[in-house]
Amino acid sequence: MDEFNKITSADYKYIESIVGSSDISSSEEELITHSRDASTIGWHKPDIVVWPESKVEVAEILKYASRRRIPVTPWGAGSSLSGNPVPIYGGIVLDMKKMNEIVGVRERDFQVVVQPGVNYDRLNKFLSKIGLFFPPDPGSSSICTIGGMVANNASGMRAVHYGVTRDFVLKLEAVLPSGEVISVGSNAIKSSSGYDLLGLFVGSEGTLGVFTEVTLKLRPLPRNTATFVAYFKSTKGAAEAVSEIITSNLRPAALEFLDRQTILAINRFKKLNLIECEAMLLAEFHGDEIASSMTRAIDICKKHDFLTVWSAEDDKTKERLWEGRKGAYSALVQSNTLPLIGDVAVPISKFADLVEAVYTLSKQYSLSLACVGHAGDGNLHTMIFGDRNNPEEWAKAFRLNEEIVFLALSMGGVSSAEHGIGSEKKKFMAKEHGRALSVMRDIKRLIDPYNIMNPGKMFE
Amino acid sequence: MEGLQYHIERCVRCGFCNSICPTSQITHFESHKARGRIVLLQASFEGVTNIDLKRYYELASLCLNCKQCLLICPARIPIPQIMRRVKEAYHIMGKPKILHFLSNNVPLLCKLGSAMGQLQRLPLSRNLLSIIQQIAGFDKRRPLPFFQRDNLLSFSRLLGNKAKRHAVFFAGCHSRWVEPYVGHATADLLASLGVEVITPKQECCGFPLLCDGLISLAINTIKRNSLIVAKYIKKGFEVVTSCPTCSLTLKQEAKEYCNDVNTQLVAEHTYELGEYVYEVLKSTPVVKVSNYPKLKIIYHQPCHLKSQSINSYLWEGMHAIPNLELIQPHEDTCCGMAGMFGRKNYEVSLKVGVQLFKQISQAKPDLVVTECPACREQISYVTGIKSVHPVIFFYPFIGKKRDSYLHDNM
Repeated sequence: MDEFNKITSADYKYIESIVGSSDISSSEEELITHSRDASTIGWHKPDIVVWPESKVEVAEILKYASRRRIPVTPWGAGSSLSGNPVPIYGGIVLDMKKMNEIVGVRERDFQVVVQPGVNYDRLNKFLSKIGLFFPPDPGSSSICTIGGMVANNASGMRAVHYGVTRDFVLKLEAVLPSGEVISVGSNAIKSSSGYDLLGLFVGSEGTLGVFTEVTLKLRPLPRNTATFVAYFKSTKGAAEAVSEIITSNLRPAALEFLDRQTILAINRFKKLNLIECEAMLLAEFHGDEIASSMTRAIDICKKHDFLTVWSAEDDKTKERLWEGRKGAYSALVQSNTLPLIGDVAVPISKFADLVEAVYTLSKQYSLSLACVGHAGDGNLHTMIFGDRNNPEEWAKAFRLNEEIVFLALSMGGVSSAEHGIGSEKKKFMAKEHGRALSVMRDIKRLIDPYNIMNPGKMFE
Repeated sequence: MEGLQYHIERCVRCGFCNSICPTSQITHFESHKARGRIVLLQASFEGVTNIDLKRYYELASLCLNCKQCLLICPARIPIPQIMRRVKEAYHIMGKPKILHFLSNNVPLLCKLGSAMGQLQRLPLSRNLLSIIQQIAGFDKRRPLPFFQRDNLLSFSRLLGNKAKRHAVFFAGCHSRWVEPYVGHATADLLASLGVEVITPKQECCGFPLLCDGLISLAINTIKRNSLIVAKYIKKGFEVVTSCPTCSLTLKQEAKEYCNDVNTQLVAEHTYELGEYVYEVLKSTPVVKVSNYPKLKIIYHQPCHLKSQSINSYLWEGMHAIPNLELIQPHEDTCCGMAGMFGRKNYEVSLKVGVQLFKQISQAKPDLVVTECPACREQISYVTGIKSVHPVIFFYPFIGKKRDSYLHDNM
């Protein structure tokens, strides 16, 4: 267990001399608003909040924090679902919002260089003017920052076709806890040079350093898109169709699974007239061969407890359907109590088994549950509805969630596909990673000997 | 606040509201943003913090009541309504409620200005108005509009047997005392559609009072208006207003605070002007003229029209008018005025609208069109470009003999 120091008035003055008085705060209102994210972990107040504006400022702060053994927790938009940016040991919260410049576009290379505080939607709006985009598309796109996405290796509905954030990060400028600034990766698309430090930093949840500049690979905006909805008489049928579509190498741009409870909620709150059956798949295809891919995918659906299919003809209808899908969580929240959100992923061949087992478990626990997920990449979000004000029921919800995670792990899956480990899921790390966890700890110690960077995240 | 604790606890802190909240765009402080304001209340209810009520009041006062957060919040947390309750709690604690009442009593301000008539132009009178501004807590840098004589009753258009429908025109303070042309044009347009328009006695819609947490005063105002207007509704009248904020209040806000039959009835029968025209015609209005001057016009959609999910039907109708070059901002954001907010928070108000002003200025239009009087005042003030209500473009449509407001002012 590491010993950390609290911020003293001398520390405050020193850091203030680095960033200026308007970019540091110890006011109660700022400490409180930086002490929780969108997860279920409780309140953890930092001692101060600092808004750096340059890598030099970040480097000076980390150097000082290392010397003084003060914890530093980077903060993007605070929209994380696993407690990743919550300062559980207090100290400094480094809010990166002021480093929000789109530094430059290398149009001929399909690359963009950004500071970590740039918002995902803002970046794509900017890129759309030159016909490019950064595809991962997390559900929190309107608020999340690129820094947070990289730290978390975030992704969303389009990951099945385009890949996750990791697949798009080419180069990172990072400040190490010592204050040293390093650059990892390159502008080249491939490299067999040295250890993959870039891969190490992506998804490190702020435990190894602070990103100050990110170079992303981009894709051209798709010219042709096609969307269809397939309805099923059973969740098993829909899940089996997912596995077969993926293994048939049809490469959908998105393939989403929604169960009955989710469909009902979307119809009610998003005013869509979806057929209220047991499960549905919402699929999108991009590219030149969309017509034949769609036909083949629909043929596959017809083999699996199929009810009917419906293709969206115009852009407005497609937009409404995807808005409905994006609003699934909000619709579920409005129809029920606040859920405990799961984020497991399994190999696609196990997806149908996972879905079936999850519903069986929820019946055993007598807890209401909805499933919605980026089925195409085996990612299932389980929403367990328990009463947070009833400690017994809420504890039961956590136990059900644990069982689902253990089930996914037993199938060769992961505890978190896109939300990260943070504080909430670190209890699964030993089971998931075995002895590899101690290698992770060794790497952390090597880079951050005083454990000042986001301590208590991923592992103790 | 007890009633709202349920909503505060339902917030998942996803932060989506921050992506749309106007003040969130201009500051790096989390507590000045929509989510931060709710998180602070969550912490307070859970006993994690002990911030005093005055500070809560100051932070809650940064809410513009634009209601855009309600369009994006997954859990539909009524953030503006919660902020009003925070302000109400502050007033109840015995703080200087009278000053807040004065600063939100729009009709009183308008009547004072109006009573001065042409004297408003004299330097001495401007000094008097400046004292009033100071008492009300308005920023002196923000000029007051030139107040006109209240000619509310002149907005009526009686059609006798020719009337196909009947409407009560809810003029709103701005039409009554600042821009009467909007009232006249509205009445003329409706009359041309066979709608008989009457304008009974009425008060402010109550929105400014609600916004500053003077809820009991607002409720009284709403109920008095409802009592008068409901009588006409029972006789088959509908209610039409040219102001999106009045429409929002009459249709949505009022019934949240008053559950009396009259207020509910008014809510069910009220239309924003463009919405009503669309309802009557079952299409957007068409102007059958060809002698319009060549004009480049930019449109700004008011937040309160967006929050009611009402299309800008009059603006859509303008697309059929020849000679007009119509454009819309790339990113149509809040102008920052928000009624009294822009008078009390001058600098914040201007900062919020920066992106919009930049786009308008760069487009170099001859005119700005927007349904909201507060937006018109702010945009004209900052950009120096005349801003008008879209209804004036439908003057020729009704065959009016006199020169239109538009031609008079070009």
